[in-house]
Amino acid sequence: MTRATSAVLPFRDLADGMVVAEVTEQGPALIGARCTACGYAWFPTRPVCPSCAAANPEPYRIGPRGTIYSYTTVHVSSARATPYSLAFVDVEQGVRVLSIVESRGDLAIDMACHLVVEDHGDWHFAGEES
Amino acid sequence: MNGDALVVGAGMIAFGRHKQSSYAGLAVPAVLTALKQAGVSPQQIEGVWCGNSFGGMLTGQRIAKDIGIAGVPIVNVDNACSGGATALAEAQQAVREGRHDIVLAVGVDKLTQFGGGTLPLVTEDWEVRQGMVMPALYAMRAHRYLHDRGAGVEDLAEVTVKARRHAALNPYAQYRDAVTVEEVLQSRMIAEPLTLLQCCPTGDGAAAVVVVSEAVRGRLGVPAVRVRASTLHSGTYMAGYRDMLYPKITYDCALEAFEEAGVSPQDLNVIELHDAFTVAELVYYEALGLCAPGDGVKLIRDGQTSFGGQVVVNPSGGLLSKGHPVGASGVAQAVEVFWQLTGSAGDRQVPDARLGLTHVTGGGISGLDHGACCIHIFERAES
Repeated sequence: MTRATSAVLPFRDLADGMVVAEVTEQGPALIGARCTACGYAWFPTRPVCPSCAAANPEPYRIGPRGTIYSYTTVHVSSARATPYSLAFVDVEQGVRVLSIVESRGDLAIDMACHLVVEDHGDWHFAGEES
Repeated sequence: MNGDALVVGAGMIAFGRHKQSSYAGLAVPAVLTALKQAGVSPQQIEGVWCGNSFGGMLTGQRIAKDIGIAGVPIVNVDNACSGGATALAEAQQAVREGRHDIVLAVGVDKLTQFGGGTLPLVTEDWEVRQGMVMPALYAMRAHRYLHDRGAGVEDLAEVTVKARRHAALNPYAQYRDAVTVEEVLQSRMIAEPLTLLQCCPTGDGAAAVVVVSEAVRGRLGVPAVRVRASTLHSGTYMAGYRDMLYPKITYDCALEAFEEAGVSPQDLNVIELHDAFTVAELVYYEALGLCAPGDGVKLIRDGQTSFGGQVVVNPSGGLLSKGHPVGASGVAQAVEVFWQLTGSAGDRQVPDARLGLTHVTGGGISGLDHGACCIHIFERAES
């Protein structure tokens, strides 16, 4: 008879301390994941590849440059204090990121933007007026 | 797939703010209406599917026990905005497979329990934690629509103007006053460019349909509509650059539904589609094949989706006028199409309606265009 030597444990994917954004010598970046089996890349990281279900992704730095695919300024929300602006930012590594976005002027589709990571780890994208 | 399934009874309550009603209080009047129309007693019901997202445990049982439905399978279904339609999909499937002859599909939700504001989404979700709410998702789709299609905000507003014009003739709709394009655009901003009148209002509602086999329908001898197609899809995760104007989940689900029914989009007389926000209706004209991709705005400008046009879309006034009690909406759409196809829609009757389609999606999780999409095609059954 075989005997189980260990039980399957859950992913601790809500644990405190998950690093989403960091600044290194190479500049600011978001920490996504890339599958070592199939190469699929995504953000934020998850323990299993959503494309092939292989369970060995590696950290994958994305950003800091991106383009606004679309955007909105939210005036009514159950999610956070209003108003705030959101954008889907297409980062150069082929991944789309939903982000708080700030801009001195009006936001626009196809506007270039870049990642800003603050000292305490909060992050957003900033629009670059042309 | 063995036999056919037919809807022989349909009922709903007037959608609105019903804070003094429980889930059973909302649903039982709708169920009794459907049963009476079908000529079926509660004791004849062999199974119940109940769509809801916020009813809590055993919502279907809390409804059924009030009217003496007992000892049968009752299944509670959450699929966000597709919950009610999913309940109907499962109920009719049980009949088509021959498991049951007489079943009930119910949809119910009470959003006034949340006290207003945007729909509470699941905070485990990454994008929700970044600030995503449903109006924001559709607002981003709207900005992209205006950009890619060369449309104006007036085109978006026209969807609400049409919806309210239809709702004026529907006593079951929550908002029935006519509005102008200017009034729509000047209403309070929710998520740019979507104003208050471009967002489906909150509300409470319930709807129910009785579904039976061909043999039972013959015995009952009541007006009926035949289920010609029933399709349910989930979304596909995508980490990369998704085209927000190409909701693949609806394109795929619709293609499958038209194949199953053996009809084309141009054969339809009436459609109830998921107009949770104005832009959605324009995008779904294209996704359902009512026009070529890119031509959705032309349909609304030319009045082709109202009375006298190529197909009447949302004769009930849609979610924009009725309100959108999440789990109830899919069944309420089926109720409206039942009334239309049996010639009992009163002042808002689409002349000689023979074929109708209902469409709901269900949203708000990261990486998917939508979590669920459920489409039904119904045909008037000859007596």
